Amino acid sequence: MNILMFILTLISGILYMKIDLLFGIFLGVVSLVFLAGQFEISKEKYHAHMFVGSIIVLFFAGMSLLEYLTGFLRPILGEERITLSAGHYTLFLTGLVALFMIFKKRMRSE
Amino acid sequence: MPVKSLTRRSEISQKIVKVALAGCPNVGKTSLFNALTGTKQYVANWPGVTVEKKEGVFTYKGYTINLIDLPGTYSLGYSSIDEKIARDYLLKGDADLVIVVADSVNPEQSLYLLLEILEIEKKVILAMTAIDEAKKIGIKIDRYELQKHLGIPVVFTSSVTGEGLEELREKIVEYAQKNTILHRMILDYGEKVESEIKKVENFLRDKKLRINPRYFALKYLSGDPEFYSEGVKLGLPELSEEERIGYRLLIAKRKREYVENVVKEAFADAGSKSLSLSEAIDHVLTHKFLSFPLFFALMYLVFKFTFDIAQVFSDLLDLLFSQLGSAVVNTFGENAFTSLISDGIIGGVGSVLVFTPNIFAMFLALGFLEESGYLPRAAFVMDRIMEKFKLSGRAFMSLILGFGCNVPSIMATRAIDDPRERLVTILITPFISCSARLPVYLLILRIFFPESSAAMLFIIYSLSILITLLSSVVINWLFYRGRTSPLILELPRYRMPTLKNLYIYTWNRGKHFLKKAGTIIFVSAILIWVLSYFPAAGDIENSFSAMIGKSLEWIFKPFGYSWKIVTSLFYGAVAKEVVVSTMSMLYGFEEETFLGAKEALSAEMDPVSAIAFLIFVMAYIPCFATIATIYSETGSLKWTLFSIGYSLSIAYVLSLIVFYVGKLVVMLI
Repeated sequence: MNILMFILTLISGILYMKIDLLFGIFLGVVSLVFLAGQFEISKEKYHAHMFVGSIIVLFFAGMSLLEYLTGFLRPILGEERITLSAGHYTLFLTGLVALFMIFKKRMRSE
Repeated sequence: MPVKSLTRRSEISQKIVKVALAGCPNVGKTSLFNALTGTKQYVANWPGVTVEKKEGVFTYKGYTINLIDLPGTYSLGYSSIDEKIARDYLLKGDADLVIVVADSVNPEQSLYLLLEILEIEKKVILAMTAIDEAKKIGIKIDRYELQKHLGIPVVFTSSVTGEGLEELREKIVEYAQKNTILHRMILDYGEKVESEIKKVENFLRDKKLRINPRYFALKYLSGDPEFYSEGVKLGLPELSEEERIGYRLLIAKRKREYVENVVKEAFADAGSKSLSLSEAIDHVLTHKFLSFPLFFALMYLVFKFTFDIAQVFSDLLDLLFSQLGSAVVNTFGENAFTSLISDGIIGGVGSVLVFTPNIFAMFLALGFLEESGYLPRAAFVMDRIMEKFKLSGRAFMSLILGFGCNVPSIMATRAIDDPRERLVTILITPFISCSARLPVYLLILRIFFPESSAAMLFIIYSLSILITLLSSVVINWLFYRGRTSPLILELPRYRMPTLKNLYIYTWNRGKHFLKKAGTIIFVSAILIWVLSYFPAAGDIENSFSAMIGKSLEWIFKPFGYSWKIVTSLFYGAVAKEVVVSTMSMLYGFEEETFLGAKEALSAEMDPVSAIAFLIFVMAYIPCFATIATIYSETGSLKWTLFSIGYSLSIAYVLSLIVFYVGKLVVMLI
């Protein structure tokens, strides 16, 4: 599963670079957490990478969603709303998968 | 008598009990203090936050209980200033009762400290905190066994759920009424140490001591600087260093054995050998290769939240203040009074207040990282890098407080043991971008870099950290050639930040900004308006402010800054937010709206000179409050003047370099 999250986060990062370069680069950095997890021999450490990486991805997705939602207030200031692009959609999807992974890990630990 | 009586004017007699809260760092003393007193002292999920005594009061069953929250200390030895404050109060203070706060999940070090406090022969209650967390992870504590071994009342508490707080209040009142301590802790330290203790006790029998002779003997034998020198002065024999170290080790070993035994008898864990949640998270966040880039990724998210998310609310406030200012002029016409209200007060204070959402957003994001337990890990991660800059992760923890305000950051250096490292940290702290500088950054970035403000803000903050660290190298090179002391840090557990703690954290820090807006900035705004309106009745080019700015304009000639910008920097020495309010006023005099004022500012600067300006604001002269704190903490006029001169020089040289390199790059492009 680490490899799936790595690919999804990396694609989100690349697509997001068009919207916000640094944000995209840092998403790329986060994808390395999953990549490093793939090489862990211990099962627990493998899951640790998945869990922590997913939490951070969720932060990134949440931030992007918040930015989009606060954009609804922009018309009051005479500005345009934020339009969603492929970067947003991919990140939201990755965020949903990350949320699922976090719950799965929590269920396992309980 | 343990309970004192206070007769008020109304002749109502009230009983007062003085209670000290002692414990190791980060065991939840301040959380318990807040829960008992209903106050909102700053709490953090990392050690070394409380560096001075804090007092709070609550009443219970006719008793007034004065609670004193002491800085965390691992033992009653003293190495740093905050530890000395705790030790001095416990040894020489007038507390009727001591509550030793211990972490239910990691009790060993707390119980070690408890043994030391019991040896002073004080009345003690043991409060086991975070009992909810202990239950959650399957730790069972046998209260009967604990009370049996320690001979004192034990209360299980949780500041989150409120469990045990009522019982603790009850125990305080109950125990305070007793005239004697319940149990005298006399540990048997073995034949060799005990025979020496007896000798010392016999010698001290006729002497007038402020502490019990057995405790004095233990401290004298283990070579505690204060007790040892006092003992020698009283006529006790001098001991070689080897003897002192030998006794110290024997005493510590016996205490450890006793604690281990108590923990074995009274504590039972779930016995799981798999990675705990904290260990799993640490495996990734303190990873050899990933930890550093992940730290920057998380810090970037903090600035993204500060700028991109909060900005829309800031813009709405800006719109509100603009319309308010226009409404005043439209209603009452243009005269000196409306100019004072719209340009001076609404323009001056309002231009700073519009950044309130950004500042609260930054504190909320930093609070989340701190409360979750990530920031001590960041200190641990940064320790490897800090060492190269002649600092330790401990200094990093003090410095990070500076993002809020440099004053508490300088105060937090009291937790640094090494005097050299402490002084260097104090001197470099003003380079950390405090929240007062944030409005200046946001104003300039919004005008000159509207599309990449969050990224630029991240770069400026990163640069401020870099300058801080490089300054440490310079100061060390100039004055010291020592090595850094290693970072020994007890990492707290990760925990989900509670909304209550996040609220306290954000409000405690954010209200400082609002208070400043209502006091210093309000008064400054009126003063600056007076200086900018008179003597030419609103003709700003011939005002006192213009005279000040024009007389200093030559200093900034290489940058091409107008006298208005120079005046803003001059007034900003009081507090950095004043730069924004001054700009708003000086440019606002000739413009009808804030937008117009901003356009006027953008006509005087280009992006390169704007960056140079930001660099100058980032580094130049600490504000008055910070200067006063540097003086009080170093006790030296020389170091205070050095701090002012050094920061001014660095600011000027650095912004000059940025200005000319930037111009060159623009020319080449």
